[in-house]
Amino acid sequence: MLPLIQKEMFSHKWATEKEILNYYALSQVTPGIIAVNVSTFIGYKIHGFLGALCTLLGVITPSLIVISLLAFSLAQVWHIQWIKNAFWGIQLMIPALIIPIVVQMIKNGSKTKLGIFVMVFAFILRSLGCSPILILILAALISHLYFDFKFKKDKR
Amino acid sequence: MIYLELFLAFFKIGLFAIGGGLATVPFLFDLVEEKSWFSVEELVKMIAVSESTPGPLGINMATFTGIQTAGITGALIATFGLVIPMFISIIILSHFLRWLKNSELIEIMFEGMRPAVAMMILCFILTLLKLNLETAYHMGQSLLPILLFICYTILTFHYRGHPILFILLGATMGVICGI
Repeated sequence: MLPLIQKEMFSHKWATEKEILNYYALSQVTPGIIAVNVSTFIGYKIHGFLGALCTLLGVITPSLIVISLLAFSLAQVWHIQWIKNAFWGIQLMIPALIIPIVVQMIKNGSKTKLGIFVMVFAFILRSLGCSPILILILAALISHLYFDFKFKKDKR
Repeated sequence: MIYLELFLAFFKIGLFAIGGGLATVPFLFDLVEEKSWFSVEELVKMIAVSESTPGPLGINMATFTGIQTAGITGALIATFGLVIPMFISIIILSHFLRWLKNSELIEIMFEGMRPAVAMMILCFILTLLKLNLETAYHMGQSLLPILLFICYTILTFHYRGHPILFILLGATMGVICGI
């Protein structure tokens, strides 16, 4: 998505490469979907609140239209046997598709002691049926305490 | 009131969706039990459709869930519910950008949240696999899905392509095995 955003912004001279990269970095440390965050940043920069509202609407409208059309047409055919079989096949493909992404995330996470600790902690809590929100808040808290402790130790 | 419930559910997801669209999946999985708006099978269908269509995964998922639960109005409400927290936080952030030069605190909190997200997605995959294998076992086939899954995983690790290619492959294999 980022290359597409860059290309479009350059052609309109709405933002420089450095600005887009800054927005991208900021979007990764704010809650939300990166594409939505970057486009809101750019919209706000160009024309304030209204600009941001327009870029937001722009980025969600294609999804709304495409998915709505697809959902309705799929609803008509879901009862046909071979389509059911096809989805049975897809159902096995979905975890296979996500696994490489998760493995990469786990690799990134296991680079630090904090990451490893949080992963073990999150896995146990999630297996016990804890809500994602609680796990995320606790993870943020642990991270905060960890860096606080490290900072004090380094200072000594 | 289904609309209000949809809005609140997705507002919550939008507020805590950290690290891209896949991060919405553990939340949606919890909705299966909490609200019974859709089943796990339907959730998988939604992921398949969202992965194979243009647009950010999170937005696609919200639209699809909304449609499944409460039609077009539902789709609009779920999608707006999802993006409003992001919209507000970015507007505020843009406004105070000059003061936020040292966003160290946010950075530090995200440092711990990202590995947690990875594990929650992993848990979802494990649940999905368990469910698939159980259904297959009850249907009298237990070897075929395991074999298929192993082949798929080897494929996805070695070839990077658009998800739609893999989803089409999965569909084809499903149709072939069904005959």
